[in-house]
Amino acid sequence: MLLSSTNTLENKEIISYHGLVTGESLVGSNVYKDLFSGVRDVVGGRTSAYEKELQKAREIALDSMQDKAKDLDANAIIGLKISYNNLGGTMGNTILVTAYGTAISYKE
Amino acid sequence: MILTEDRKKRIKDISIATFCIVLGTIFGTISLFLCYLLNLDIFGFNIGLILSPLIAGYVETFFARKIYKKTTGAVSAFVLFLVTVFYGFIYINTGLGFNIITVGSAAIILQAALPTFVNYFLLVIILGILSYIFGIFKELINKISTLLKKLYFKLIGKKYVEEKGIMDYNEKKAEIDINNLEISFFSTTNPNREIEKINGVYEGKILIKSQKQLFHNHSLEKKDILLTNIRKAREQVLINLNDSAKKDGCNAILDLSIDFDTIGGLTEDNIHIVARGTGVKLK
Repeated sequence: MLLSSTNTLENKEIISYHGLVTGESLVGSNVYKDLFSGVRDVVGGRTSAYEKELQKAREIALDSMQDKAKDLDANAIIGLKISYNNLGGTMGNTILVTAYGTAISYKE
Repeated sequence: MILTEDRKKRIKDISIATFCIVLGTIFGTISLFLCYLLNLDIFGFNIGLILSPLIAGYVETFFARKIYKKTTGAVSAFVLFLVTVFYGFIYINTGLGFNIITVGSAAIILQAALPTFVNYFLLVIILGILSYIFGIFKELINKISTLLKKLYFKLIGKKYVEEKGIMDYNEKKAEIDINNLEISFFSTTNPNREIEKINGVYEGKILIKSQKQLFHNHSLEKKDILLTNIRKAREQVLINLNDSAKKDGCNAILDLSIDFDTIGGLTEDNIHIVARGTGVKLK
């Protein structure tokens, strides 16, 4: 499945538009992980616990979106948008990752 | 075990940082020892208690900048700070009692040593607990108020109709497939068909009420409920957008964007979802 954030696919002919496809996932964080990230920052390490969780959440959102596109017989998603939202205010500890785009079929 | 380049670099960085911290701590401890040995007192107060953390921090930062090319956060100053507090103020001072002044002093020492942690504790944890307690009180008062209203309506012989919060979610629309509506949605600006008319910007909105309990509970079941609510609400936002654009004769929405926002004060427990795009009529 080809993913693109652009409006069209350069040098490729779009045969049909299948509509909007979406995907989403949630990441829950916690205070201990926050503190640990802070400590690692001091000693110069990378805050990989968060990085890994966010990467996983992004993959889940993209996979779910691609599954929907496959169900519509699409072979690409264009106009792709991915956003990260923090839910829950000051005490917020849930991150929502959303992905959406237009499912299309193009001539390979 | 084969280590990746990134991991090797991290191990090397941590080793250098640890070396600088140990070096700072050794220098600080020696300076404290010397100050006690030479009796460097001012009105009975040994200046080593002040100087040794500063020396430890300076030495650590000096070597960290030379070898590590950045600072390590003067961890040794903090270590020496703890040593001087425990040795100089508590261990030697046998007459020290447990009262409001010593507790207050200990709190100030902690604040100076761990400002981020103490501020986080005061501003986030304490405020969070208070807002949670007040939240319980609010619910209790609401329940009492509803009970009194019901009683009042019963006394005057009228039927009490319960007020509902802002919730524009429509269960009847839950089964509609967004890709089988009269309007086509495009996240792109180019529909590959000729545009007959541009009708302007259209919006579809929805507010999902009070999701606080779901935000702070990370069990799989609660996470699934929250995700399902968001998914259902987002589909309905598109249906609402479809309804408003269809009235003006549009048959497509271009450059569609979907935004999620949390609103509702400090605890922000309502999710506001907005879908926005340009309504057009395609040939």
